[in-house]
Amino acid sequence: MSGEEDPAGREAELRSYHLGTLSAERQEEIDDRFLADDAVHAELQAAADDLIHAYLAGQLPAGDRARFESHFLLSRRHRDRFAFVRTLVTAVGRVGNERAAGAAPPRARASRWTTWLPWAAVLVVGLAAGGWSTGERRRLERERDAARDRVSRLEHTLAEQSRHVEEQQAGTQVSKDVGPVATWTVRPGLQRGSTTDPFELRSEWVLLRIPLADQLRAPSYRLSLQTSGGNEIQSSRSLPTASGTNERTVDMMVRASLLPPASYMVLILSDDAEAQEIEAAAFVVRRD
Amino acid sequence: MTSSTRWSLTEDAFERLLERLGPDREAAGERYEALRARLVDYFDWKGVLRPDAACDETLDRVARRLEEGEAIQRVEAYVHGVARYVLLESLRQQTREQQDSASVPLELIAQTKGDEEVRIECLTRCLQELAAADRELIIGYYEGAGDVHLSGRKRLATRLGISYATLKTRAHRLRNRLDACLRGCLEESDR
Repeated sequence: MSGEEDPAGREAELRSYHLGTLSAERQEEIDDRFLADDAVHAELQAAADDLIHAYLAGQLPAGDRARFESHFLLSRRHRDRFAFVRTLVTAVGRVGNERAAGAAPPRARASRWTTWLPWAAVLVVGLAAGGWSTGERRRLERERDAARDRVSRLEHTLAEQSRHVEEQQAGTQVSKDVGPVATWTVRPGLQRGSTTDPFELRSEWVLLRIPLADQLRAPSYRLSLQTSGGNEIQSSRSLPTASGTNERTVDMMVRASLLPPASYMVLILSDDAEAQEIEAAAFVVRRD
Repeated sequence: MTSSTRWSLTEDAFERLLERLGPDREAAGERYEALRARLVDYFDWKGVLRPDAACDETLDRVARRLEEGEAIQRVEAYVHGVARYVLLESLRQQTREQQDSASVPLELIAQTKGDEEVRIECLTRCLQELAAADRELIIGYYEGAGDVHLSGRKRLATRLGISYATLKTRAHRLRNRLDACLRGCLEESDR
């Protein structure tokens, strides 16, 4: 399985293998080859790393990006590797940046956005190296902004993906793709979905959307979904805020199977070690 | 996958399996580890939630057959055949378990974000510990923004006087070395 004659074709095929879009026969052929040959196994692992990098760099078309999130990241090893490649690209950007700036000693800390935007760090290398035209600089800045948006969506997707897999590992319903999602807006301080107006489960997933008061300006929050008796059902950390038409919200995806008919609370907590409660909202669920 | 509860791997059975992987014990051990790594990836990539357990089950079954005196001509090919059965069984069992229970989700990947700065510091150090040529290779591999990596990497391979495939292989080995270095560094920082 050499990529010498047509490296782009080979890469595309291995990428399709990891995205699960090859024919079953071809998929099995590649299985046979890598199970028998360490070199093919290593080639597939390298292809997975390159696929992760392509995703981080925003190079995947929409269909592949969706498959990456719904199929590729189901694998725990792929998720671990994702975290590694993300860190690697950031570190490479940092080292390359220092090299370009001619500074030998490493910086003590990276700026916040280069810390969690590896592809943006690569762009910084380009910007710092100088010699860019204004147009090129603007293009790179636009790419960097788009990358920021991607990482925000990605963090959310990863959190959901990871939890989805953890649910599977814990023995919940099998599903390779996230099904339809219902959005429930639950306002702090109010009992939405009260006994006279309860929420009804009609979907596989529920997106709990919590509008935030104006004074709440933290970049991220932790949400704790609890039973009315105070038992935690699900906790999601590092949740970014999202801006809608009129208000900012923080969202948490919950599998519907975790929400049998009952009363629930959502606590909005500070996203730090202390996890102090900031707000709370309550809602009621009934089966359709 | 219940056979492992009735039969567990004995030292004799394991030795017999190693013998079949190679006459030299050290080389056979390496082949065993490589085979194991491939099997774990196979199960993981196919959606098995406990790939290590499925891998162990596969190798246990093969070792058991050998201990029972079954004539197996090509042991690695036999392993692949057994792996396919174990894969089907594992996926079936997962489906059954998932239909029977509901549970609370556990950790989130985003939780690792708080440690990200430590990881970056560690990996930056690991990069700086590489030989200069290796460091240049891995930096060059990830240089460039947008959709330029394939052409950029081809140019890098030409500049280094190696084939594109060799460049990818070297980059992969370096990533694995860096991954191991990162793990070591994180363990140290935890102490």
